[in-house]
Amino acid sequence: MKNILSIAFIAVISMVMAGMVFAAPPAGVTSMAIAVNAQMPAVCQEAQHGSFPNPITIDPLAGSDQTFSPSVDETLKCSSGTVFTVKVSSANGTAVGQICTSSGVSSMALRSAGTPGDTIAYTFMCAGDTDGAGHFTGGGYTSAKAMGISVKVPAASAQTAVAHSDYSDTVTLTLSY
Amino acid sequence: MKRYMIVLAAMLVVLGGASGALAATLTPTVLATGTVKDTCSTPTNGTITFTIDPSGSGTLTPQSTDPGNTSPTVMCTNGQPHVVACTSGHGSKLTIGNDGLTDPIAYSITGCASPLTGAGFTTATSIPLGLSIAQAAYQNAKVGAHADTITVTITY
Repeated sequence: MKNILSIAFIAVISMVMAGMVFAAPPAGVTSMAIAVNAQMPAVCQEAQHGSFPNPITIDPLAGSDQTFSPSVDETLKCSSGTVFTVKVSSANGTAVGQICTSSGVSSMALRSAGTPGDTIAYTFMCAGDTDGAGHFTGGGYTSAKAMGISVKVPAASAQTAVAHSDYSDTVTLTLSY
Repeated sequence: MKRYMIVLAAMLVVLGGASGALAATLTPTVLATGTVKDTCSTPTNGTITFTIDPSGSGTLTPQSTDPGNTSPTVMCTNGQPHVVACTSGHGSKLTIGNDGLTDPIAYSITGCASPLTGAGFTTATSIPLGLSIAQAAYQNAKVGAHADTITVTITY
């Protein structure tokens, strides 16, 4: 009886081992790699076009500098982390490609359309710069960056201005990044 | 003497019968069996290179079949299906410097069709795949080179 049990046990073991051998997959593996490279460039675009009230009223008797805020601020969208500068040019002044900072760009001028010889000097400011030196930092394309534009007419310019209702200037902003 | 003749005649008859049995032909057969091994070899790597425009809209879908890119290839036993798996090196994220951490851009792998049927060892089989990157994943990404490595594994 003992011999019979031993034989049966060996048979079971053999069957299990055989089963293990046949269950094992004839596995082999071959691998390849794909290098994925994405270049994220610095890109900017205008999100909102800035403008000033029309007209702005300059008081020659104010006795101090007059600052005018925009009706709509200029906003920009740039790639996150992109450092860019904004350069300002005045159609009627002598400012060409000057970096706009929170302290402002002078050499801007309002000119009378009917009397082109009459001008009013002013300063164009960009209070939204990051470091006071005209550098802005992009916050990505879900976060528009406000430039914080404004116009300042010095008291001296206002006091000597000739009365007209047709002063204007066109300011061109150029982004460099 | 007559008795000897009868015996000799009988022996000749017996020998003649034996001679007839030796003339039969034998046609042995040999069974030859062969098994074609299921295997793969000669893998080549691929590339997917593209530019992300954060000002763009919609989902980006760069493909290994786009111009300038290459699909990985492999040679496998003709007619045999093989399981294909594609896995990202950094959790399906493109990162600056491929470090897995810096400014991750999430993506998903597309294509990577499985199974792959081998075409023999004179023809490489291409494994085209691509990426899908949602606008929300890239529009605020930082400037720089983002990268990842996808491993394509063929099991047989």
